[in-house]
Amino acid sequence: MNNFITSLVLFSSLLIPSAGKEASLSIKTKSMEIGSGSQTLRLLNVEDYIYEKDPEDAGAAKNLVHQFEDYARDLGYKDVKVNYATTDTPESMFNELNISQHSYDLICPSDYMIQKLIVNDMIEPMHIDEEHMPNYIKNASKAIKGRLDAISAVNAKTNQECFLKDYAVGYMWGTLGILFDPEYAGREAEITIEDMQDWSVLWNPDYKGISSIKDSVRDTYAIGLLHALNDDFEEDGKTIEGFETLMNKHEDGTYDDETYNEKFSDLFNKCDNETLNKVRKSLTKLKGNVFGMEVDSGKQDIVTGKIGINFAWSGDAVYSMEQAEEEKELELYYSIPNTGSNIWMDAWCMPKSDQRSQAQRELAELFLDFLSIPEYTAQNMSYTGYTPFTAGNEILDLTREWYDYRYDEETEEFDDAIPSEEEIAEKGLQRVDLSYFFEGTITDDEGNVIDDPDSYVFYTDCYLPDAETDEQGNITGGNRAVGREFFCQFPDEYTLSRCAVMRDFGPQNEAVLKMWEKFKSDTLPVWAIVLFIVEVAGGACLIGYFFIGNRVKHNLRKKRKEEQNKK
Amino acid sequence: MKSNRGTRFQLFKRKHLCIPYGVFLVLFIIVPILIIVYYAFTDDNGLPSISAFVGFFTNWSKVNVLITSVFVALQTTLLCLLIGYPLAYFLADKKVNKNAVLITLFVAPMWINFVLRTGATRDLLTWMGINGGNMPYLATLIGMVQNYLPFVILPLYTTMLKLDKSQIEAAADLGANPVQVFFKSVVPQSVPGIVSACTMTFMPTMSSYVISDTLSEGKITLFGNYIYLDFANNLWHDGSFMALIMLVIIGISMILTRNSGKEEKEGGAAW
Repeated sequence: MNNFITSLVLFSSLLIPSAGKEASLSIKTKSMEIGSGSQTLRLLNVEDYIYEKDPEDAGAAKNLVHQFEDYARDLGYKDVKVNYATTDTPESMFNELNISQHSYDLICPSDYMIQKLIVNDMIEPMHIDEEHMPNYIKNASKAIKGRLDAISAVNAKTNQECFLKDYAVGYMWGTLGILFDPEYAGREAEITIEDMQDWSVLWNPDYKGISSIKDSVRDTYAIGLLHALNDDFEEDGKTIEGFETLMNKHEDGTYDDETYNEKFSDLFNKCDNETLNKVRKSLTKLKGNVFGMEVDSGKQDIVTGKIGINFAWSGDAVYSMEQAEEEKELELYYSIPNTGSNIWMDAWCMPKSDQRSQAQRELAELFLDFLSIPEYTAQNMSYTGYTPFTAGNEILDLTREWYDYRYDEETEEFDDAIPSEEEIAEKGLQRVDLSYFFEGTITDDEGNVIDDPDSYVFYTDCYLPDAETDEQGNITGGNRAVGREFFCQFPDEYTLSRCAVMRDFGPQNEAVLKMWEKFKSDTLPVWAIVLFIVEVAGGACLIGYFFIGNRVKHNLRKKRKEEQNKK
Repeated sequence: MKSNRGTRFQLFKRKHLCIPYGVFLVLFIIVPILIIVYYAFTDDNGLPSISAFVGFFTNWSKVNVLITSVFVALQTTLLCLLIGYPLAYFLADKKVNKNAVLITLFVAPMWINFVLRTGATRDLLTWMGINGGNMPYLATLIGMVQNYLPFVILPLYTTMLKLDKSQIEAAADLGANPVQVFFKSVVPQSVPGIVSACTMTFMPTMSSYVISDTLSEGKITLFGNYIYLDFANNLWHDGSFMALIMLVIIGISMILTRNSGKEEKEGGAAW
């Protein structure tokens, strides 16, 4: 019986292999209020990805989902309830949707996952137009929305090519980069900003054991790819330009932004078997050089000083920078290496369901439009640290307040005069043009679009250290893709042209995963193998000794007895 | 009517007290196991398939992870026994451990959730200069031993409490030296405790997930991590098959230790 109970305990502990990461596959539901006659909007999002009220701050606005309930009531909807659930990764979102397709009205996965959802025929198109989502259409950043809309996937059931512009409403976007602490004390030689602008820094033995990478397939695959295909290589007898050549040709003007981005994107999305092998080899080397792999602990570790370099998502980088400044008065920097990086976008989409009423569909679309109202987007932006998909007056004001030199914190006023050349030189200001993000979204009191190019220009000194600038403050060279929070949230257009979307691996998904499994499983080190063999052999000898020893004794006793009997 | 009521009352027997647990057992232990078995031998279309089976044994990295897991589990078990056995022997002495206060102290860490404890261990080890970056195996083993030591001490302690003192004294009186007394009298008497200590440590270590992930900084992948990796990436069949392998290994170890279970009734191990 005792053994039986032990086995039950063990069995049950087995059934939850992820017992520690409690929420990894499970879903946390925050409110479960479904009343009669009321309408419920069921959302599934990633954790910590929407504005929530700080319980200690009594004056703060309500949770954003509750604000939506009020907003809908004001528009005449009766008794709207939002049922907001969270999960941890787009992968578990996919799993959850597989199990209960009809349980959610809106989900918020990443770009590649939306492709996968289309392929599997799991989401349906929405009315993403002027009539149903005026705020989204007006406020979405043209450049970023253009990138999202251009992504497509082929529905495996209907064999139709579907573009994300009909399926996805952008929510947040960001980049991948290197977050580093220039004054990291764990190493004798100093961390140099020049080194940080190249992905190869992670492989550099000078920085052994002080950097961490992501324990997630796609992100780490991206840097493995950027490193493995850095130089030109041969394929089918043809020479293919590597990332470095592309960068050089972009720099000297052989390729314009568009051509470069196209070529970069093609190379960045390579995932054939040969490439996978190359990536695995370079990642295996990387594994020996890094401190470790993490998904969540890195953003805190760089603050506490366990590591000096962190391969980070832009939003996490903002979080770390703020923490480091608050706790240790430490200035961290974020760099998007010169050979290019990944731009990712998270967007809302609607799971396919035949049980959803027209009213519910409309409510869902209303919610997406609500999220694009600048007032509410600003709350999300300041809460999550990520960059919203949509701009607008409030976003511009908030960005100015946070980052522009001309904002006076005491009077809380913004002086929109252009600084003189002397002022720029004296204060070391940089001029950053964010028209790609704000253009066409700024309105006057009557709602007319103001098209003033100067209003999208920011003067800041918290952007790029030691960047070379001309007299107007325009960045012309130097460390141009390194910066603080502002750069994390709003990389300039030049940097963005060096970023590409990493699409779903499609039929190669399994091969990539196999590659990752191989990378994750390590052969035991030699000492461990020796120890293992010694132990097993020792154990076998011990058992053998007792077993044979007992036999011998037994036989001796038997003989003695027989002899006694004979006597 | 009356007699009817009487029989109805008699229908409620003592064994019916097991019903709540029976329901729990079926819902949360037996059904999940059946689901695992189902997933392990079907494919995406729900048809019977042995692709997960073939996939496991032809995939060197999976077998590799199994070997690593066995290695780490073996080291943990041995280290725990090495530390726990003398300690349990010492604690079982009533003079030392009055009112069993000391044993409570050794078990106390179990009251804190192990995820939190592992996080604290990580900081402590980093402060000592041991981390996943430079010594992933050492860091993981320290964490494992810290976590599973109470599971070794407790069953050994309860066995040691019931050691036949007169047998030990008799062995000494009849001329056995202390070493012989230990190996011929103390160890054989405590075998049930050792066996349950090993089962309580070995298998959970193999399938553990958070400790190796946190303390080796993701560098050591154990079987539990691998199962999770498959589940997280939608490979239900491969993941289920690996979970099934764990179940089979547990089953085998249960059969192997059944003999000592018979002695257990006499020895009276608590676990």
